[in-house]
Amino acid sequence: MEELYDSIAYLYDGTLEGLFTAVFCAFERHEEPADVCRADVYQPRLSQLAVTIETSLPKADRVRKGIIRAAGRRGYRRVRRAALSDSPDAGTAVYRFIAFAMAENAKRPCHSCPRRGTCRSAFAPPKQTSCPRVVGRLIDDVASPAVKPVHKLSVAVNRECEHMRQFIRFRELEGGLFYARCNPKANVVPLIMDHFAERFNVQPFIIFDENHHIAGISEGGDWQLVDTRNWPGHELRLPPEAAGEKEMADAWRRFYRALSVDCRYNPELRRHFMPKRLWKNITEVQGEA
Amino acid sequence: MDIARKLELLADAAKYDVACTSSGVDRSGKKGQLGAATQAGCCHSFTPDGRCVTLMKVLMTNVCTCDCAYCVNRASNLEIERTAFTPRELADLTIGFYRRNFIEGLFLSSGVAGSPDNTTERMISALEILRHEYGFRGYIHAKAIPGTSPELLHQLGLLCDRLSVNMELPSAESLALLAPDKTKRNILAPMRQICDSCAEDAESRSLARRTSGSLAQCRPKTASRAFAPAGQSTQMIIGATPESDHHILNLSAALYRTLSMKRVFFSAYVPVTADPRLPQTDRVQLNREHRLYQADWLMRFYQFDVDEIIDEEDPFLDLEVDPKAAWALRHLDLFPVEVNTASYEVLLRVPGIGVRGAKLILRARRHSTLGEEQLRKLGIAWKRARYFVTCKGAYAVPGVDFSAAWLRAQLTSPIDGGRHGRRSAKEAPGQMSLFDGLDAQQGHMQPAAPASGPKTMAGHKSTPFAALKPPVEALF
Repeated sequence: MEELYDSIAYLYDGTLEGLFTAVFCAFERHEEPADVCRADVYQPRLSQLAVTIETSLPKADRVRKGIIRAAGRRGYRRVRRAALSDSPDAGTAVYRFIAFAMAENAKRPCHSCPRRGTCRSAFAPPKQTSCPRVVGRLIDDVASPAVKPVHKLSVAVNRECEHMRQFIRFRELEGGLFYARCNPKANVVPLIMDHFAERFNVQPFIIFDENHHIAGISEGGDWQLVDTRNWPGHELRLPPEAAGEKEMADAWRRFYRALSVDCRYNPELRRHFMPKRLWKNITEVQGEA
Repeated sequence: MDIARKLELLADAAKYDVACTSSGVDRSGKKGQLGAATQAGCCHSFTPDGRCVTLMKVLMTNVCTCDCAYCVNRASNLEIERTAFTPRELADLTIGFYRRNFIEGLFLSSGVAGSPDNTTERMISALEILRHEYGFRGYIHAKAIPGTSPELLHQLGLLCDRLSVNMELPSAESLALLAPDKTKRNILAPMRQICDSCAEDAESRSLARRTSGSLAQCRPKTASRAFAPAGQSTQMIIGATPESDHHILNLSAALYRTLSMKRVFFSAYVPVTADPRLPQTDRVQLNREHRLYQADWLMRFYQFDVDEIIDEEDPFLDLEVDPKAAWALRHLDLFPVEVNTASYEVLLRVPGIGVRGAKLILRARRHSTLGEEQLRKLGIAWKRARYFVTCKGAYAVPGVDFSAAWLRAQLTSPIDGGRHGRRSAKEAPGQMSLFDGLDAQQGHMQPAAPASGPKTMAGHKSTPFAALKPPVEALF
């Protein structure tokens, strides 16, 4: 088999657990996949073998623990954010970062370390395979080719989170439910639900991501995610709008128009802060796009 | 009148207020109560002029007894329709907008209807409905009306997160000329009061929170509301009167130093009225406003002293290059610096390296020696920084004539063939002609145009006794 193919690609189902299982398999089988990619966006290279990885939660959990041990909690958080990105390179970037983190730690084995007499890590059970001098600073090495892609992706996902915190617009439906649609570039609904559940704990609300078909549902400060990919029409069935909702949106639109100072007109600046791709779900600019 | 129409009128009347931030206070959500606030704030929309909308910025009423020449709501303006919110209407509208994530909170200002105390009482009753009846935990910014009694101001401060008093114009003489109803005293007195109350509140809180000592038992069981926890800010109009940038920056430095302002906002004068006391032009000094903000940032985040940014001989900021680059061009003896060894303070002074870039460099150079490629990866503005740094001991740009004139030419050459930032570039030099109308009338000195040639490499003149700097009262 090996003679026929130059490289291997691992395909996972798009979830964080799927990605971690793929990383686990790469270590388990002693293979070095050239690509780790979501199955739905994979584009085969010439003479590349594509292997589909079955998601396994126990394996994913071992990888999660491994990342925390090798790159610290900050490193793990960065990896998790990067993995939520829509970019087709996200899987490969995460895999390379994890491999880099493991290799960096392996370079500093405890048995030959001059600090082993005083280092807590050398004696702590179970036997550690990480060096505290590597773990804390690994993710800071942003100029390194293995860390930079993960750093960049996580910054982009962070930015998309901020866009959603800014531009989510709720509508009130009959029965007091608030509903918002959004179209982010990354799967950020899980990351923003805490923010909204905290401030809107007095109202039940749904945030529906129409790109990733995921709905975040919150009531009374708690929230959960619902995957609507396999639902008929990928959509939620919702009650009609509450009375007075139209007037409220109209008042907001008129307020927004009144605020502009004409002699400072600068649409480039507005587009910079409020990208046009998001306008279709922003109440005050919906018609303008 | 229809409530939406009222909102439209009162928002239109408030839009020339520039301060629109929701930052400075971190308040977590509470079960059963609407709202929370985050330290960094959040911009919820952007108007076609690119300014952010974070709070619902409205006036309580646009009826005003003052007759300030620059203001659209002045008493002598008969063209606008006058209206007022009732406290209940305002509170309901705020809650309605907040629940839809349109806004981060309320920015409440007002025209002076009747007396300043009357006006403030109406504002207080609106905020009381919000805070006490609806249990609103979002952000509230309130304007203090000059001339309000100290008791009412204190009450207002306990309801809002940030208080601000408008400085309006950068000197008391200009104020007397354009805003005859306002005086230096009734603007500075509430500022001083807010500053003192904030400090007092912070101190009593820190005492009450102490876990050791005999006071530990006195810890309050219920949390009381802090006095303006996000501090105070102010704003002034630039370009309506002939004050120099030197004067304005010294004044704002004094405000930061002595009144512990969180922000000083500058607002380029926008003509809304044809008054003979005002400059007769329809140009807006956006570039000058931009440079002033850059200088303001240098003072707040880059550890610059105001005397390093600007001096009396050259009292206007250079419109061609930014204040930091201008400083670097005056101090070429300190450059280039080696990125792999320079301290954080030195890195901050390099044009093209900001706070974020300097911190990233510190982090990244613990792992590897940084060269051009790594610096580009870190996302610093290499186009500007490359003239002022060395990497691994070598200068990055070959064939450089390291002189102020040559470097200035490089820094001012149009970026991306002039396609970048073209709208702001339209407000080119020549803006200083703005003052012509006023000069003829008043006999002011025509301010010197900013020097475009390179200056001599004189070291910066720092005042030997920083503590002896003049207070706000002496400058305003």
